[in-house]
Parts: sequence; structure tokens; C-alpha cells
Amino acid sequence: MRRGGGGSSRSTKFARGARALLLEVEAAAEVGVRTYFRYVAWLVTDIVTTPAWLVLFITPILLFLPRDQWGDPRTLNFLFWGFILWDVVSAGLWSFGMAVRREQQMGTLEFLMLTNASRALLFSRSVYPRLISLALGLAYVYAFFRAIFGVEVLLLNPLGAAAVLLAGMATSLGFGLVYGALVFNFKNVGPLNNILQFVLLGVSGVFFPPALYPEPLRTVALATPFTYVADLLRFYAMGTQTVLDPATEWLVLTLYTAALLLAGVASLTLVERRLKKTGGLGAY
Amino acid sequence: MSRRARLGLLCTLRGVMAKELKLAFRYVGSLVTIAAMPFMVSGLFLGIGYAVAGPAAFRNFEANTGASSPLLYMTLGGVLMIASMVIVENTSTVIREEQLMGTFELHYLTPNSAVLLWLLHALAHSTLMILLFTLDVVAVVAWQGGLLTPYEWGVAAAVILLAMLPLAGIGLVIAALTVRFKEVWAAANLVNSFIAALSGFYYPLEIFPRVVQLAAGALPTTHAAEVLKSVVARVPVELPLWQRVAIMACLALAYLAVGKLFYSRWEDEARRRGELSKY
Repeated sequence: MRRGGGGSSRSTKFARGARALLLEVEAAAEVGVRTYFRYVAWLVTDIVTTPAWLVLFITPILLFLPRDQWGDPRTLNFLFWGFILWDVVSAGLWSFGMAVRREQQMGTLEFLMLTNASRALLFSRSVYPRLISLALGLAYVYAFFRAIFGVEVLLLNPLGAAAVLLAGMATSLGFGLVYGALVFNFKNVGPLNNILQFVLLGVSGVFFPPALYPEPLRTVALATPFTYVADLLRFYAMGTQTVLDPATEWLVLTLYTAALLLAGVASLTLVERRLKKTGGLGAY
Repeated sequence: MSRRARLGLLCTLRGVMAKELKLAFRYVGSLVTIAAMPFMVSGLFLGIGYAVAGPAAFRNFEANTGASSPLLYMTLGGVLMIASMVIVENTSTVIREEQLMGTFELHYLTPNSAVLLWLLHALAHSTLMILLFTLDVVAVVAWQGGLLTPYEWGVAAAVILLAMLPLAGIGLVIAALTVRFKEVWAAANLVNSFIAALSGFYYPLEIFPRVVQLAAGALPTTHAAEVLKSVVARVPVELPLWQRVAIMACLALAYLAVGKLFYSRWEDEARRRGELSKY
């Protein structure tokens, strides 16, 4: 860094306001997408293993039904959309929540902290490849699902479903930023992610409507943002009844997402400031 | 000299065991996760199953699987699935991990056979998995008001060992094939997904077409799942126990032989080309 504030290598000091923000978004998107396509083996493995995961995940649930109902299109559609949503929920924990940890492990965190870029934008770089993988995932999971289970996947309102999935990714990002700030502070939370993922899937009504939950659990479900993502997605894709009015669910989801994103940005700033004071930034 | 050599093997085993147990208990969070995962997965399946089928869910489950307790059935499958994933991943990534830590070459300075050394690692992991199996299954059986008898535990432990060790053979093949292409984790994930789907951890394989059942029969984990379900969860099975064990023993020898062959070939080639230390 030169005296007088002259920039270090990728400083955005030469740009101001929205342009500086766009430059940071561009840099984060570029590194995210490049990294995603660098590991082609993972991409191929994701596609090739999908039939195995579909069979492993859906067959045990069908065992709870009489054999003549295993081909029930409604149940299978519930499970299909649940499988897609699993990816959205887990993105919050594994991609966005663990972004800080990954930078720590690669030894690049301190370099990022030397820049003047927005921490939230830097740590949300995996949202771009996640959007690509979600779109790709929808296509190949759909193909395998139809081939294995032989039912038509319902998609009554494609635009509505796409809007909910995009909103869901933003919710996941907000949740991930808040969680990421905790990871920043507590370091190794990998084992916790595994457990938390199943808890979130369970309480958020990802696989079945929260209307079926017993009362204390139903209230917990309604307090979770992913419940609204799941409910609205099934509403647009399958035409199912929502717990609240769809417009109210959109409002709750939007407010919840905005609050999570703001909380994420604020908590990252707070934790960074605290760690810089205590010297814990570089401690792994 | 031969006595010292025999003792040497035991010393190596003790060393590997001590190292792996220390590592396992250093990262207690990972250990807790491995122990909790079968319950997490079972809980998810039970919850969704009940939501989908209503009060008749458990009755339907018994009619479809022959198991009166879905929780025990799924915990047994879950423990075996997690154990097989741990063994395949740990063995597959052994070369790469040791290379990244800078300790790979150090093993070659000892008088031990590298293949044997990696198999001892798998033995240590299998022992750990038996401990976790005991913890998880005893908890479920006790929760249902029962006890795991010493005979049941003995059969289950022997079967887990017989199912896990051959997976180390698959791990060595992956390790040898992928060490130069770096993305060994992706390959391990691929193998794990198909072992998990084909072994019938969570469902009876009889519901699948004959060709799938034949393919599944080539996996030691398939037979282990059948034995565990029959011994611990009292699920009726076709083949008697001794036949399953005999098949598993044959599969274990075949898998380990293939693993040794692939690894030794890679090792010879790497020594000739000077690639043993090339990262």
C-alpha cells in the first residue's frame, strides 16, 4: 500500500459508489465461477451420482406407504421438490457459511482482509456458481427422476417457481452470512453443519407441508425462513395450499431475507473488528 | 528374526491404532457427527415417512421390510453406511492426505510394507466404527427396552470388520488411480454413492430388478446389511448366516487382492519415474 492511500493490487479506491460495488461483484463472480469450473470432476460426479442419491433418499420413504402407492405422483412430486430445496438450504451452511473457513484454510483470508472490498460480497462469491449448479441440477435431477420413477414432475407456474428459488438462494445467502460470522469467530464448525442441516430440513417443511406438523413444531417451522421458500415453491410448482396467504408469505420471506442479509453484513463487520483487536483474525 | 518380524507387525499395528485413535479424539466434533449421523438420517426418513403415510406408516413399513422397528432398521443401515463411507474416503485419500501433510515419504523410510500399513489404518478405522456401532445400536435397543446380547454383538462386530476391510481394497484402487489427477475426493464420492444405493442399507433389495440385486451381491456391505438386519432387527432373510459369512470372506480376499495389485503397480511405476514425491 502506498502512502496517501494509493491502492494495493485490486483496490477499488479508483471507483466510487455503485461502480465500486459492481466491480467487487464482478470480481467475486469471476473467481466463484472460475473455481467452480476448474474442478470438472466434481461437476461430473454430481451428475453421475444423482440417480444413486435419488434412489437412496426416496426409496426408504416409500417403504412407509403401501406398495400400490409407491408410484403416487403427488408424493413423488413432494419429494422431487424437496430434493431440489435441499440444495438451496445446504448452500447456506456449506457454501456461504463456510466461505470464511475455506479462505482461512487456504491461507488467503488475511489477503482479502487487506483489501477495501465489502466482506459480505467477497464471502458470497459462491452464490454465482450455486445459481449455475441449481439450474443444472434442476435439469439433470428432473431427467433422472422421470427415468427412475416414471412420473411427470409438476411445474404449473415456472416463473413463480423460478422467482421463489432465486429468493430462496438470497435467503440462504443471508442465513449463510450470519452463520459465516459465527464460523469466523468459532472456526471449526464442519461437524455442526452436518447436524444443523438435518435439523433445518426437518423444521423447515422442506419435504412435507408444515400444516401437518404438531403444534409446538408448527410454530418453530413458521419462524424459519426456509418454510416459506418450501411452501411457496410447492404452491407455484404443484398448486398446493399454502399455510398463510401467498402474498403474506412473500412479504414475510422478503422481510426475513432482507433482515438476514443486513444482519449478515453487520455481524461480519463486528466480528472482523473484534478479531482484529484481539489478534484472533489469523488464528485458526 | 522371524519372531521379531511378527512382533514388528504387532508394533506397527499398535502404532497405527494409537495414532488414529489420538487423531479421532483430537477432533471430537467429527466423532460426535459420525455417531449422530445415523440418527439424523433415520429421524428425517421417519419424520417424512410418517407425514406422508400417517398413522399406518409403521404398519406399512413392517409389511414392506419385515422389520417391526423402523428406527432400529434404519439405524443399523445408517451406521453401516457411514462406516463404509468413512473407510472408502479415508483409504482413498490416504496418499493425497499424507502427501499434503508432507509425511508420505516418511512411511517409505520405515521397513513396513506400504500396502500393509494402509490396511492397518483401515483396521483401526473399522475398530472405531465397531465402537460407534455399539454406541448407536445399544442406545436404540435399550430405548426400546431390550439388550444386545454378547452373541449378537460378536456377530455384528465380526461382520462389520469383514465388510469394512475389503472396502479398503476399493480405497487403494481409487488412491492409486487418482493420485496423479488430484481430485481423489470426487472419485471417493462417486464410489460411496453407489455403495450406499446398492447395499440396501435402508431398504430390502428384493424390491429392485434382478440385475440390480446381482450387482449388489458383489458388494460386501450388502451381505453385512442383511446379516445385521437379521441378527439385530430379526428381519427374515434368505441365506443362512454361515453362507453370508463365507461369501463375505471370499469377497474380502478378492477386493484386497485387487487393491494390493493396483496400489503395488502404481507404487512400482512411481518409484521408476521418480513420482513418489511428485505432488
